[in-house]
Amino acid sequence: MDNSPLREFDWNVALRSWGLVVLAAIGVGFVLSVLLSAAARGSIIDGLIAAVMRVKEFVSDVFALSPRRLWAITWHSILESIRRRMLLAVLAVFVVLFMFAGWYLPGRSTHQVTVYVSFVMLAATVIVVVASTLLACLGLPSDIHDRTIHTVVTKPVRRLEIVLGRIFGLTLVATIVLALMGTGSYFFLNRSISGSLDVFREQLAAAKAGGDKLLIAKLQDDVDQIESKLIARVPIFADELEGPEKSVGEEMAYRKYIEGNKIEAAVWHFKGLPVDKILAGKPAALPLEMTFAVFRTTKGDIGHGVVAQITYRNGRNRENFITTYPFEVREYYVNKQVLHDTPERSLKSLFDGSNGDIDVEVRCMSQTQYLGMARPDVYVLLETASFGANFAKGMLGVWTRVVLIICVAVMFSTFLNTFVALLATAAVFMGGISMPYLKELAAETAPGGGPISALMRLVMHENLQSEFDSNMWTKMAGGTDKGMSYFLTGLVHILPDLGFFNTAPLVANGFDITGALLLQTTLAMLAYAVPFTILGYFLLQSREIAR
Amino acid sequence: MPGEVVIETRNLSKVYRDFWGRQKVRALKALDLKIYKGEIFGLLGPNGSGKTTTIKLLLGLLFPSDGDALVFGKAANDVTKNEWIGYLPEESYLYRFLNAEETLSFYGRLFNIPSDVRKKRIQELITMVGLERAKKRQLKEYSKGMTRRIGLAQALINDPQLVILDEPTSGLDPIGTREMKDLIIDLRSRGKTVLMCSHRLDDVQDVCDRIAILHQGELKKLGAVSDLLTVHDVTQFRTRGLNGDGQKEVAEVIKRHGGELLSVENPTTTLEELFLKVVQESEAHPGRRFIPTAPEKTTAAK
Repeated sequence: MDNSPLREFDWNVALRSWGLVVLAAIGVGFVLSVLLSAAARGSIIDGLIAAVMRVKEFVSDVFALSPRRLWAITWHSILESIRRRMLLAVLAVFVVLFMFAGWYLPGRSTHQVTVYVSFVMLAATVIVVVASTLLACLGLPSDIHDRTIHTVVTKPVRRLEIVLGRIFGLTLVATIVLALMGTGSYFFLNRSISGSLDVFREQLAAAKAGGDKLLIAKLQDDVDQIESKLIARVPIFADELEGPEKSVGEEMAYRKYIEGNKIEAAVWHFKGLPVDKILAGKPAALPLEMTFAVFRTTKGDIGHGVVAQITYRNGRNRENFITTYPFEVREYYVNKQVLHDTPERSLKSLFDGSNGDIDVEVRCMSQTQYLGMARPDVYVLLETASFGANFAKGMLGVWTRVVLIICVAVMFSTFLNTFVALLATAAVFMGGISMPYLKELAAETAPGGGPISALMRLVMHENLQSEFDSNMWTKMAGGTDKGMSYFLTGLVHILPDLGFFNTAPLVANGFDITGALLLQTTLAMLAYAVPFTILGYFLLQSREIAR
Repeated sequence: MPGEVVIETRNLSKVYRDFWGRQKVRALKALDLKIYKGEIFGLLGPNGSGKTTTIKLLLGLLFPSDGDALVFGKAANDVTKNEWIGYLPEESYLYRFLNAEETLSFYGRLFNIPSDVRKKRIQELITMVGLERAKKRQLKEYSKGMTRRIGLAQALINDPQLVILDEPTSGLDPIGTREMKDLIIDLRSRGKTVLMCSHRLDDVQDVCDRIAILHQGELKKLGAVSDLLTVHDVTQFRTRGLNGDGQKEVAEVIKRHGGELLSVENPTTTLEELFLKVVQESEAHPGRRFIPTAPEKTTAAK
């Protein structure tokens, strides 16, 4: 997960992947059901017949779902969570964590919002995921172990109602906990950051009184940076970025670079900007925000940033343009430029006949320095939304991850004991948050090779880049890694990419979580949750409860 | 007795296997059984004879290895049959963090009983099992006897047609045992069918119409209790106020008719009857204590 506010999402690919996951879940569930039934009945044929009957039962169970029974099991799960003191323990941990937050969180800085928001979202995710997993993995296995489930399944309760009731109950508990944590976190953030902002503003007022221009500029910048994170920006991104091609190393792969003082330029092609809205401002203004990476090959001009030239050009009639120079790029900052009418050319003439198509051309003017950029690095900012609402939407992202993990944990708890179900759920969680690396391993593009090659490097004290000698052992390692890559390819298609659901970086960096993104994460969560639930149903249905 | 068949097993067998499918125990062997509507049926047998396995197979808690188990004509794994079944397991497996009302409400909801009916029924059952004063206490604070009572109440929450009781008097004191037996008999009088298994043979003898005796997973005996227990070649007379001469004359009459007088004795009551009588008298006359008289000198003491 990068910090980019731009999420590429292809519904066709997503639906195809979902179909694959559903088919895989049905396949795995059916095969396991056949095997478990065969073990109970003593023959594969009997197991197969039983499994087919269960598919039929599943369909009838779906139609026989009773809201009253479902609510009974849901309410039961909620009471269980409360009376086992789990809810209290979770909130206590959260409160203690925040009571001593001052010890381990950095103090006043321009990055305070980013750090604090990331911290509270991570803390909420970890605490609620751990608590929900514990509750989910304790629930059914304890019922089966203590045989309390005997008095439940001997009532007209469908196994689907048991699985769903557990999921709904734990989801409701997690929702309440997250709502409480979210509210508490929001007040904590407000209190901490407002305090810092007040201090910066007082310092700025003092600097203004003292007349120190450099200090005023710096403090004003600090205040602007904090304020820019305390909103939810609604960026308009360019449709295309053209130009930067240079790479400065694999760790910077997200951005491509242009070299300073060369003909090279990066051009963002914006299509269909709302011209009326831009020109309606008094005065008319085109606000642009930019975040660039800088790669230095020399110290450059000490005390000064890298200088860029920015040209705004009519996307249709390329002769109408406005150039701004010099523009000092600051690293790790949100660089802002608001274009107004200039003596040479008005904004109206810039947009004349453009239909809102504008190209923004950036050149690096500092010799021996490189400017790094990606498509989301430059955007037009015409609108902002409330930080509080955005924070709530960020918590919704946490919620989707928690619900997903609850479904996974309940699914495992239908056929594993508490300890093994905990381990299995933890493995899914770790796999889910390590998905980019798992994908690299599956695609055999991970630095240092596959797991066995990496292990050999560790033992042999080899670095990631060095080539192995070609011998029997290295060939065996390569072959094993190849085999594992097939397994991992299957795994990355089944495990949920939990990074996808993480919208905390958007909130932390002051970008609005759009409705479309919320829809994507919620549907993606359901796309995994539904097959996991069905798989859990079949596993519980195939199980002899009294054994 | 034959009437509507409520439970039927055909060649019902259960083999417990390990993870690899290897046979561990043959718990039930080809059980053929029919239990009719309105009867109290007892399953008897020593530990490991297959009683509980049979009940679990009938309830769908276990899958049969062979044969069929039908309840109300439906397969045992069909959950719709559970609408008419009440089940009291051996250990009253209930949620310890719920109180009595919550427990009954939870199970009532599982039967889809509407709220107003459920509330009324919960109150009736709590009164019936004598837990009114403890209805707000969590079950973890209950004694074993109280847990059995609430377990029984949950088994009756749906006013079932078939009640399956696994060791129903286990953990109950003599009064509770008597109440339980009275209740079982009352269920029969209301047309319900009861299937129970118990180690306490006196309980089974007191209430059951028919019994099946299982041993090592096999059915060894099946029939009406009265038929199975009757000693056909012995005749018993019970009289009141017969003096010694009268007894001698009766003995002579028996001898004259070719009979053999086996014993002449005063009958004893059961310990249960005595206990209940003492408790009832104590409740009727609180504070009246039993004062033991001086022990009689025995021959040995002399």
